[in-house]
Amino acid sequence: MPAASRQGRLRLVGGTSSARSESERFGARAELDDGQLAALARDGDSLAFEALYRRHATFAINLAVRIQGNATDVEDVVHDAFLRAHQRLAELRDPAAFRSWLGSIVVRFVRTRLRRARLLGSLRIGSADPVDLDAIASDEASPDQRAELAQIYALLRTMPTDERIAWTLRYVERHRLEVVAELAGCSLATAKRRIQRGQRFLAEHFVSPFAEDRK
Amino acid sequence: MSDRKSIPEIEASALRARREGESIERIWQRLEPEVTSAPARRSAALWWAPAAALIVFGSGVVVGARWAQPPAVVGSVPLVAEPIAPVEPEQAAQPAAPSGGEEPSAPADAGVKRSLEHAPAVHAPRAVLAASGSTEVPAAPVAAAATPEWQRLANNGEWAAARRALDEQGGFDAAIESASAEQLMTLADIARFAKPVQSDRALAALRRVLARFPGDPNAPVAAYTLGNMLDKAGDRAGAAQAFAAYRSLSPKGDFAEDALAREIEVAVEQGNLALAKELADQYARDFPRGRRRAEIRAELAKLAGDAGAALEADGGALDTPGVDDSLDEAEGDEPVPSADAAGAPAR
Repeated sequence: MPAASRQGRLRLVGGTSSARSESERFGARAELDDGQLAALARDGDSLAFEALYRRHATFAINLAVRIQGNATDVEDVVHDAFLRAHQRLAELRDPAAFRSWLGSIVVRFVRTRLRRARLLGSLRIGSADPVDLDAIASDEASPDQRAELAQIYALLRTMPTDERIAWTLRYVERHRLEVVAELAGCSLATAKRRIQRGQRFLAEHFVSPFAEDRK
Repeated sequence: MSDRKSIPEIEASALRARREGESIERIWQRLEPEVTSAPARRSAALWWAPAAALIVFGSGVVVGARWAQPPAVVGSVPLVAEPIAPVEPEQAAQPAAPSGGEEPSAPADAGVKRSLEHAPAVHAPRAVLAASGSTEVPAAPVAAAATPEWQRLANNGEWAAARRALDEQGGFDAAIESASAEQLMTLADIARFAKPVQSDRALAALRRVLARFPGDPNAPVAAYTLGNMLDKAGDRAGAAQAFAAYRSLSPKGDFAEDALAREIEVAVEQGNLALAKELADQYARDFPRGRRRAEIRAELAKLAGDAGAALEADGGALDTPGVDDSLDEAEGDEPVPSADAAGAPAR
């Protein structure tokens, strides 16, 4: 398989090494799917775990940023999530589901951060991190879209953490309901209730700054 | 849910897709020594630690519950045989939930966990379980004394304790006879979430909800959960029926799109091109911006191709006009999944 194909299979992200050297580094592991890599990593193959890391790091970072609404401490969250995943690989019953399993770990860490920030805020010891629009919105986003995102994320900050997470997974990350439930670590019905509450709250409070333009 | 229209859809192109190589490298620099010095296999030796903690904690809760509230008088209702569908435990197909979090979770795929929300929202009434946009029924005030112990425990997520209490109070078969729709859902949860899993009982409870309380707000969720369970057990036809039941009970419910898509999946798997196309047309009409249009189109195309190949082998020809047409019409509105979510976990 040519190096370019290997790179595509591995979906290497960023990094300073070239695709060729990455392929050489991971060797046959670059050809393996998540399930096979997770099984190898579980048996102590650190290169396999690195391949998993590089394959899913971007997913984990984006997930954390979009739920938090900023990039504060996201590196810590992703680091801790991968470390936890590594420690608990033996408990992963379906290695092929590594990505969703990792996502659920990321969500748990982000939730812990958000709750801690909320608690500290309520005690007036600290305050929740502000929404960082540049961390969320793309360069291609129009001014309208940026304004809408800013308002939505500002409202999300005022919602209960679990509802905020469920709504974000559903309508920002666009996951299916089953996946939302899996990532949020709750039942399907609970996920749905949280999404509904979030949706209702946003519908009550969102005011389109461009309502006239849309008519 | 009509109010969704007032909130603008967040387009994937408006979201930043971060591909920060430097950040990824920095994280790995921290991570590498930790994962190489502590092989995953070694960490598995401590698998019993969280389990032991859970057992100790659970024991304390059970003892506390017994201390605070004596168990109800054990009933003498004889066990009644129930129709049991041969179903494999559905949990085999599920990935393990990370156990290191701050709260244990029930299986995520289909459960109807009636757990008490730890952070109840103050801005919204109790959400309708399934028939969103159709009927909204506020929670009926129930006297604490009228709530069976097993239900109270289940509401707290104490599934094992709930099963024990249920057994002490007459057992599942007795309880199911007089249970309300809400209690039937709880019985199904206990059957599914307490170990060992009792899928047959969960199915029985869910079917009873549909048979006896079709107008209850729980009925659509029961149908959807039933569909998920049957699907996992390999009963694809039964699952399709359950998903169809969901759609008939809650045509505009939040699961309606997924239920229809699952019906299409089954029709495709069964090679029923006509039904698959009919359902796909309905999907295109009901959900012109549905998230699964591309997936459905691909499945239909594959099915049409397979059928065509089979007929060609027999010397015939397959006329499958418009297999994809209806789904293609709204292509311009396709909500593109976020770049990094493209490989997001599938069902």
